[in-house]
Amino acid sequence: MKKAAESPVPSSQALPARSLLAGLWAMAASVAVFFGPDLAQAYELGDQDWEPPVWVASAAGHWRTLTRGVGVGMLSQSLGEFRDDFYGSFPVIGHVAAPVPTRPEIVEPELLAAAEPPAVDTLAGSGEEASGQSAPAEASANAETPAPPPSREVAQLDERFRPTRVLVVGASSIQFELGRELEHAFEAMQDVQVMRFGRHSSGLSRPDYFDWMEKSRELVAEFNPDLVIAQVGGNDCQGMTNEDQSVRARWDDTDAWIQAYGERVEQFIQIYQDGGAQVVILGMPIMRATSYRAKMERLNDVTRRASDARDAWYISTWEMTSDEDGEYAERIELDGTSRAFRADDGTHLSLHGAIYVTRELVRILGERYRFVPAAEAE
Amino acid sequence: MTFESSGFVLFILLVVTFWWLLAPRRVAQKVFLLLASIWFYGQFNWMFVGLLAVSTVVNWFIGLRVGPSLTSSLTWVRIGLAFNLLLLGFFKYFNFFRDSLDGVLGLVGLQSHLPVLTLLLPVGISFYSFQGIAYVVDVHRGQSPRATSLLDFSLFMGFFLKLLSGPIIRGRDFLPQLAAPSPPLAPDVSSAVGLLFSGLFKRMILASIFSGHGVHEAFSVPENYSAAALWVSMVGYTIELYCDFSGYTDLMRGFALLMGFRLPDNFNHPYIATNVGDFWRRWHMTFSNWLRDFIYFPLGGSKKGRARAYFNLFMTMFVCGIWHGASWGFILWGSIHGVALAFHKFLTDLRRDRGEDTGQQSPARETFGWLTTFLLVCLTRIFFRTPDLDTALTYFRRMFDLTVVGDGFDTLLLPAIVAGLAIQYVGPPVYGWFVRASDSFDVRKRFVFWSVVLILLLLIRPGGQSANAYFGF
Repeated sequence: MKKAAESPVPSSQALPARSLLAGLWAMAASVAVFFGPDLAQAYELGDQDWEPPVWVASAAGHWRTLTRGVGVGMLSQSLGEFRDDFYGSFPVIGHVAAPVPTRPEIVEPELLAAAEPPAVDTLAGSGEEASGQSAPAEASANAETPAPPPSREVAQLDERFRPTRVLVVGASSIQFELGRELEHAFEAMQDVQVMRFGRHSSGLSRPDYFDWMEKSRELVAEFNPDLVIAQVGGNDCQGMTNEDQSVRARWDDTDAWIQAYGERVEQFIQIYQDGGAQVVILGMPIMRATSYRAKMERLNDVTRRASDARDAWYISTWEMTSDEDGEYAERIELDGTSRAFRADDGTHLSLHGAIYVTRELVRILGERYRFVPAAEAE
Repeated sequence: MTFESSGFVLFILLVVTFWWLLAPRRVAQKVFLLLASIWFYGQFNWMFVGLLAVSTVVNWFIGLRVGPSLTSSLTWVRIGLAFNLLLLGFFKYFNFFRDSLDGVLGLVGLQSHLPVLTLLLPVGISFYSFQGIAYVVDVHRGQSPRATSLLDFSLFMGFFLKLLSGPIIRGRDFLPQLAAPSPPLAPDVSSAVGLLFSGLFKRMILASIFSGHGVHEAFSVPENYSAAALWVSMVGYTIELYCDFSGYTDLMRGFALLMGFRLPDNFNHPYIATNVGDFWRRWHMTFSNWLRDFIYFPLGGSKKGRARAYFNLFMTMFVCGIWHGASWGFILWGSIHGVALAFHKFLTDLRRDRGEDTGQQSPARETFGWLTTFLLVCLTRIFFRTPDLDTALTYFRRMFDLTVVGDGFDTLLLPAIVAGLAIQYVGPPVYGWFVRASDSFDVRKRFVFWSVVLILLLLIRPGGQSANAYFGF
């Protein structure tokens, strides 16, 4: 088992300093040519840690055009996409699912109106009013005291839409924790088919990285959903590109960015609506890092207004992930136990945070949509 | 500034370029390198530069007053030790000491009334403080040349390629390199480029896979993960730490070699170790050697009887734990390794007493030794990485409960773990092949070959970013 130390294997040839320097700079130049488009785009969009001068951004744009013109950009982009697909193709295994509550938070407004008038305020209001305004601890208490099952009479009177094909889409939150819990929750409903598609690091800002419009059309054609629940935006606080990699709007050009992003959210929603689906947009939760939080506020605001414009239902997750003072909540009381609410990065939800938010969302969705737990129907 | 960022690449290219352009004017080269090091360190915090300057001047001054033939040498060594330990202790351990003291006093209803200080831990202070101690003691023992030039000593302390996370260099290894005239040719360029590519592969690809796929989160919030995910994360983090730290060392040694400097090895494929003693001879070697020379030997080593040797091993690793950080998790981690080292020495002594050849191992014994050593290293990493003991205990508890609700793990981690273990075995032959292949080309083809390899490495890098795990120490 004895191995040689990790010491440099002596090279037999020394180089004159000029040859060394010429070679090193040539290597750097070859890398710059090959990866220049990526690097130039980052500078051009203002996504570097430092704010480049205007002439740097301008030069970067010319450089990108030039490299794209000779096909290098396309080659590096294609290879990059292949690499991302490869790394993204590995499934997650070893997941042990949480038991689904035998009675989820589907509350019949009519029934409650007759029996418990005060409860109607929180459950029968608009989506905006009910979208997670309750403090986490209160909601947790609600989760532990499920409402009684609907009577036959109430079920007959119920005019809420009953989705049968639910599509859950979004970025990493949907690919991982929240998406998994939502999928699990809807799978437990009677006569509901669920499809989930999540793509980490993606969003609506950068179709040159991942084209959500194209993917959405594919998903509509493949699954024909009647309800779409989407959460994108976590990676969108950056400069926007078009599909051809040209710059649509820089992040620091606030007005242009708001205009462009709003249009893109509307376009995204419209694809699903044209396919006959109702659309629910989940806002982004509060973030631990204050700088990121401020960016999310802008993004959520634009998303909410675009959703309203397209008559989609925007549900805020900001308040349901905040503490009583409206600040970032570190922990959550779930089923009587204090749990970490968020993942280590202060961005994503923890497993228990996802379970909690899923219960809240199912409860809120129950205002407009009728889901019947399969276990209960049996 | 990360070591794979375009900013750092540009910085290092400029440094290497001016370094060679200034040759053979050695003083000009060294002044330039010192200014570059100061600028680099100042990017973290300019106040850190001031502290490093104080440490440098004090250790240099003391170094002029110690030596085997000087009568007051021992007194100055004590002053040097006190200075370096106080500097390190104040910035790194003051609040830990205060909290622990309050905890003990609180048991009897008392309080220390020591203030809570908001201290920024200067990056690399553990490394340069230990280097200062080593220099003073080595000069006192006659094991290192004395640096009469403040310029040389400043580079010895502040050379940016070893400042942040080592390797911990000794005066006898580095000062003669500074004193030597500038070489007419750049030596071992193929070896340097091989080290750079090795470092990029370990850090930018393997370590990034682990850091980008939930391994760290499992240690922070273990209640989110299933037992299977926790086991995979434990092994994954063990591999990641090696890839991150060893990859960083490879990069720094490679860059240094481009300028003609040889920095010492820090890793020798530690995960092929078949016992815990073997592991510590292979892991973070410049630090292990420091502990051996300045803790274990001064305590008496193995020359004061067996029981004392076991105690000395334990104490050495106890210090090792404390050095890593002011937390009970690190102390427990170091202590467990100390007990394991003492126990291994006890077993070795027993075998020697029976007349067995401890150098010879049967394949079965070797395999068993490898497995138990690797498992010990992995399991103790839980104390090393979790933020507190409660979280560590939660981690352990959930690892053995197959029914707990929790997230799974990304299967990408499995091939990454296999690759991380495989490089322990195939790394040296691949590296040797690379250097020989490079040398077989003429100069132009050599750089074309290297450019192609570099582009391939950059192409297959995943999105995550390696963690610079040892900056915090």
